[in-house]
Amino acid sequence: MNNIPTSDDVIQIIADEIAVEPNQLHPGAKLTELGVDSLTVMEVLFVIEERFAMQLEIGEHAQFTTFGDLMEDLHRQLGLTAPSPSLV
Amino acid sequence: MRVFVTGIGAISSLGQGVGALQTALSEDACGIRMHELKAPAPSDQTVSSLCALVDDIDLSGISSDKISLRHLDRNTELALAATDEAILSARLTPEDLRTCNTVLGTSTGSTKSVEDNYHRLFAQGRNALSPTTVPRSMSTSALSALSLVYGIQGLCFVVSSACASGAHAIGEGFQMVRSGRTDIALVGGTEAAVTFGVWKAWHALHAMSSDGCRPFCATRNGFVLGEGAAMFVLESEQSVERRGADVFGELVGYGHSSDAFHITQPSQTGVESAIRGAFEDAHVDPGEGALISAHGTGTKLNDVTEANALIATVGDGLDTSDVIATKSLHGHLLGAGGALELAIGIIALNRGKAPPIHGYREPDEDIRLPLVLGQPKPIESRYLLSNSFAFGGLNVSLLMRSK
Repeated sequence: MNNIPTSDDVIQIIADEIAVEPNQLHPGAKLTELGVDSLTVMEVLFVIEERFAMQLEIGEHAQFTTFGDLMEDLHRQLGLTAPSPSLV
Repeated sequence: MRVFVTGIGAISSLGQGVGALQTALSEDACGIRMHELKAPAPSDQTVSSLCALVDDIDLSGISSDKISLRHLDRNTELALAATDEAILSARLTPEDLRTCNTVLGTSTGSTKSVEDNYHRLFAQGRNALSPTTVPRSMSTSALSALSLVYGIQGLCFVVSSACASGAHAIGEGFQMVRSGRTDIALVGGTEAAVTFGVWKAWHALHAMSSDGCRPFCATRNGFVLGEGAAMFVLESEQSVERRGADVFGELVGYGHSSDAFHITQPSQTGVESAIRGAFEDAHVDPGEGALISAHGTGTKLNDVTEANALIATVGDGLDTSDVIATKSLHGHLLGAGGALELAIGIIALNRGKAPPIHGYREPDEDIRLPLVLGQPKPIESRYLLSNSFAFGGLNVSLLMRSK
């Protein structure tokens, strides 16, 4: 991975952290069913921050219920342009 | 109330499982070898040293929907491996586990996470730490993982008393069952503290050997660091009968004392008090003798102090005793030492054969003990005395009777 994150980079990081295949991460997937709790979200953000030397806000993450919610926020914070096909 | 050991699990440089331990003992296998310990990246500092590390940790038989088993720290992995085996060997049910108490001994908690994260902060000048720094580094990380994986909702806590941690944990669990506070207690110790930083700390004390751990030998020159875990299921007599559980032995005495003498040096008086206390607690005459699993670190001071204390307390009982010192095989597991050594002692007692002190070269004229040397020796006594004497003068002696 280079230092400008793409949507696929972020999805791969999340998939690695929670030990699922990237294709399991669709917008409607419930975070609780993926085994993602608030601590996991924080850890994922930390890994993204470390990988791309960026600072992210924790913000409203505790309110997210679906993977789509999480990705929408990350898109905004990271300035990701083209959404990955898996989010369409 | 009588208290029995109905489950045992162990993992160390001698292998994973009681079976591997039995094989290693029968082959006089030694888990101590040269390893390279590295500082956290990107530092290129390393040190090569004798230590006793676990080769592989197999957790494939364990699953949990409460905690991820993928990124566990090593002390937790070791604790899980030993606990899983202990629970299986005792055939505990989910309901048994839900109501049991758990006391886990560990002197350091999670060393690697502490070193890695503070290296990130201080050496690399990073602004933030991983959010899991606290749950990983806390001394209860392994204990809480056990509670999560096995659904344990009884009284659970960690005991930390340096090199006596595991022995204290077993002793306190023994008290809980004996007093009727609980029917079943899961007890033992875990330690995975053989890291670059910890090695450097011990090196600064000039207490480690560069050529092997030879307890009670005239040429002994220090201890060797090791890692591992051992866990036990302790059960009341009523629970054993109700469940039809198999018994590995009976825990009969818990002797303990504090030296109030020196932060690193042992006190013979304090050590004697713990040993004497174990026999008195069990209402057993030391004259009966025992298979004595010495603390036997291989340092000049510990070994001669322990030898003199055993002579003063066991006395004529030494005529029918056999002294073993298994740190010569698996190194010094710090907080988990008392637990692994008790497991080995129970295995030896049940086999009827005491394992020899590995690497012993020549007698020390100041140490007059019936040491087991050269080859396994038939055990005369039906008792096992297991000693753990910690820095800061914290002493435990556990007495067991064979089944």
